[in-house]
Amino acid sequence: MASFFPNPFSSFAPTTSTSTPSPISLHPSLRLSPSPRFRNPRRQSLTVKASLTSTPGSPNVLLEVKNLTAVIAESKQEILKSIDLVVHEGEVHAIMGKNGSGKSTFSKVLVGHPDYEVTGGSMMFKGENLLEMEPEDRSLAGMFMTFQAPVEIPGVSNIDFLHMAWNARRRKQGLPELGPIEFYSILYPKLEAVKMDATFLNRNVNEGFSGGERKRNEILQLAVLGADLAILDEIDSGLDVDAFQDVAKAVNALLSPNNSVLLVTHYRRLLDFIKPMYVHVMEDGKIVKTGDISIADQLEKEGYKAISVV
Amino acid sequence: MYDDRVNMSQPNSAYGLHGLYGSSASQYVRDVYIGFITSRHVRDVCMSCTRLHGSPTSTDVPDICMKSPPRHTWVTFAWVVHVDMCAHCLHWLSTSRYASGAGRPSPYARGGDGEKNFSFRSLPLLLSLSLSPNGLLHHIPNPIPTSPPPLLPPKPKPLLRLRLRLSSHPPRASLSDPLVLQIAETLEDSTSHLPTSPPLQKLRDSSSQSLLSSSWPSRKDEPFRFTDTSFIKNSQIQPIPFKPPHFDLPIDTQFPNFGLLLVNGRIAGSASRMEGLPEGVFVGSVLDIPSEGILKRVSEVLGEFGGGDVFWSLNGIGAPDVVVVYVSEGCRVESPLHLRFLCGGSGGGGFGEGVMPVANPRVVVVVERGGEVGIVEEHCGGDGDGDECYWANSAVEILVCEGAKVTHCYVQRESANAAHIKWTVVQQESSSVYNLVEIGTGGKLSRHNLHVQQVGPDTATELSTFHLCLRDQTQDLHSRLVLDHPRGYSKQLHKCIVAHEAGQAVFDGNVRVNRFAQETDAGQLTRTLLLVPKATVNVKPNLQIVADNVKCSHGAAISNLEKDLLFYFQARGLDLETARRALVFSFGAEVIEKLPYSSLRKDVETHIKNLIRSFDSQRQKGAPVLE
Repeated sequence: MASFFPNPFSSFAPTTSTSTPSPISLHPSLRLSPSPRFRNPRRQSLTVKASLTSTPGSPNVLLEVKNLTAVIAESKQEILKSIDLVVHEGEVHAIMGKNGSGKSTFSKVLVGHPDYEVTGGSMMFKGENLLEMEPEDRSLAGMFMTFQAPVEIPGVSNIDFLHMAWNARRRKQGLPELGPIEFYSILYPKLEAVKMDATFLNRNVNEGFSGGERKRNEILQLAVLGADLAILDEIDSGLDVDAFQDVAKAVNALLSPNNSVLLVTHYRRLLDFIKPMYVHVMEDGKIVKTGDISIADQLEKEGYKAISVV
Repeated sequence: MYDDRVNMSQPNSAYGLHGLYGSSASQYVRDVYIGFITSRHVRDVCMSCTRLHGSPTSTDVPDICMKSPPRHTWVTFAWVVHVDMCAHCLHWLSTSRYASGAGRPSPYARGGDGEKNFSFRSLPLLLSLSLSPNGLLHHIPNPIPTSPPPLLPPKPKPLLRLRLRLSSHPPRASLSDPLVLQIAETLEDSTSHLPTSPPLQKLRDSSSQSLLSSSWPSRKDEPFRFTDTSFIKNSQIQPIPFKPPHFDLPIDTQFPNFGLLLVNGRIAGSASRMEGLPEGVFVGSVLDIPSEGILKRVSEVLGEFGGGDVFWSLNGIGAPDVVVVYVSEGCRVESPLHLRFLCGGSGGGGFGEGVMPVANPRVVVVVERGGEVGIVEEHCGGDGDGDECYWANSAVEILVCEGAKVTHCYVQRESANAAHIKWTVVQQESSSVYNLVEIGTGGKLSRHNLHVQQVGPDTATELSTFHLCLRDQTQDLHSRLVLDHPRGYSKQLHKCIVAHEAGQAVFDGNVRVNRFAQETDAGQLTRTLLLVPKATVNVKPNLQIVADNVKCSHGAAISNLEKDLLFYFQARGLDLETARRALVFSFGAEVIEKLPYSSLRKDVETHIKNLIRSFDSQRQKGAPVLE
């Protein structure tokens, strides 16, 4: 596959696919980058809606995943079977797909979860090879994944945890570490942003938290630590309507022209709040379709059958 | 994965010899097997029991196996003793002995270092249990009047006198453990010139009496099955001379509240701080008790709760003084009372190689009806956090009267080469509350025996323990909680971390809910982290329930740090080292948080953080980690 391909889309490249996916059209209003382009090198028949050349001032590539394959470390069962995805700065991508299609695995593999082993392909983040980086280095480089089911950490208070993580970032940037009081002044406005009570800070991380509180806590961590690429793994599951809106608002507040978001979700509803530029559909460890939000609409109406290429 | 390192054991009376020790005198024991005996010890035995089988000859020494550790000459040898003895006058009637050839496996031969140090000195005690009906029939009126059980000479005798008598009657000598007697003797000598008072004298007398029938525990005794005390046994035990201590302590900063400094068991008055104690509270030496009433109460309690082992009795005979904490009826002491125990050479002077100075601090606490007090016990080495070798053998008795409350904090950070044996015996009357928070990090061998006895209904007991083994050390908690009355509440949490391949943690937690303890709510949980390969933990949580309307639970968990937790830290940019450190510390934080005094809590937190940090830096130099 051409490495010079300045493709902001994931170029789906199923190796043995026989069906022809429907042409993908992008709603122009969704395009943040000046000229998003889509092209599949193997399927010249596809509609290409953009020019092939990169325009000056186009945003930098943040994440570039090519041909990524990964297995479960213990059982060697293959979960990801060739994934290609490119995310530029300032873009919001959504990944949808059936249960067990590999969405969460993909997000965990991106941040280096030890349960999975990468067997092929490459992952570049800001020009650095992710495969050579430890999970903590990936985090410090600007990746942040919210966990689908955040673990409880008994004995470590929320504020201590955030403080430690914050200072780890400061160290990485060569800045002096902050004391607890200075840190609290940074923390306090973020608490308000995610509508979290200050008493949560003194509780142990996620210990005894409800599902919604855990998700809010994840967003609080994201708000405090910041991220160039936020990977939100089913941030909407288990939330009531109010919490859902709070979380969505908090995520939107974090978006800037330089930040990108990768959303993993089952529901169209979240996409109404956090508008994705591109929607990818995953099936059996591959991205089988990429398009704009209309795909999500189609999924909502007709289910995954309508998209399925198998 | 590490299950094979963990013994979730049952009492092994069928396997070890403890059934003999535990049996009542009416039980007849005819055959006693002992395995792995050194020829030196065999000679000892032959010399000491000539009345049994005549003078020793060279044929009495069985085949010698030279494949042994260099220090001893080992023989594989099974010894059968068949003795009839009069239970009253303790005369032997007939004996026979069979020595098998080398290589015969002994049913009690088990691995472990403890076996190497098995001493034949314990044989005499075994013999003393070998009673038979013939023996009883043999009885003729005897100058020593006795009543059953007939194992002990019935009258309290001063040890020294008895010793003289023993030397002329070898079979009588065989009733005791010579090692224990020898230690007891030196301890007795060391305290004989000290001033005494009636309760103290009574304690010494009863202790010396029970020492006559005590033997040094081996790993064949159930309570010491996992705990090897040979570290103490192989040293030359010597009491610390009771010179006036000369510690330079900045007194004002040492104790935030009321504080008493005990150096090798004696109160260092100059460094203590006792001004401003509320009226009705007495804290001080048993020799300075101001009123008859308190003296009477103290003598009712001191040494009366019993249940101790040889260490308990050795403490009783060697205690130079008894610290009394007396809280009168309805009196509430707002600030905690700090007892700091310093043991070791700083108070004594130079000790040679292989010498283990021993100190025997003793404390008795009486909290009368409705009283309330907080006690902080802190055990440190005389040289700070050094590596001095000494043995702190301390004992605390606590009586919590009706409606009273005692909050007890016990922090153990002895020197790295020290042995720390501790007894805590508590009696709880009705509606009383006893809370114990224990933090143990120091010592090479640390053993805490905790006995809580309920003597009235509606008691509440909370026991929390955190042990940390970061070095080649043993941390042992043997707890026993006996509930005999209705509506008792108890909650026990034991947590420990073993992070050294030669480190060992032991927990034997017994909770007895007896017939009348209906509506009891008793919970027990033990959790252990094993952080390196070969780290060992022996846990034996056991709950014995006789009552039929109770709520009881117990649980045991042994694990490494969870990968998911570590990854959560990493995913937030924290490296593995930091994550491990935070998780290891937070594991103990659950117990540390229970310390009720913030200054103490901070102090302990800092101490444990420092320990973990220094452990980490050592580990980075190449020690193994369990991944």
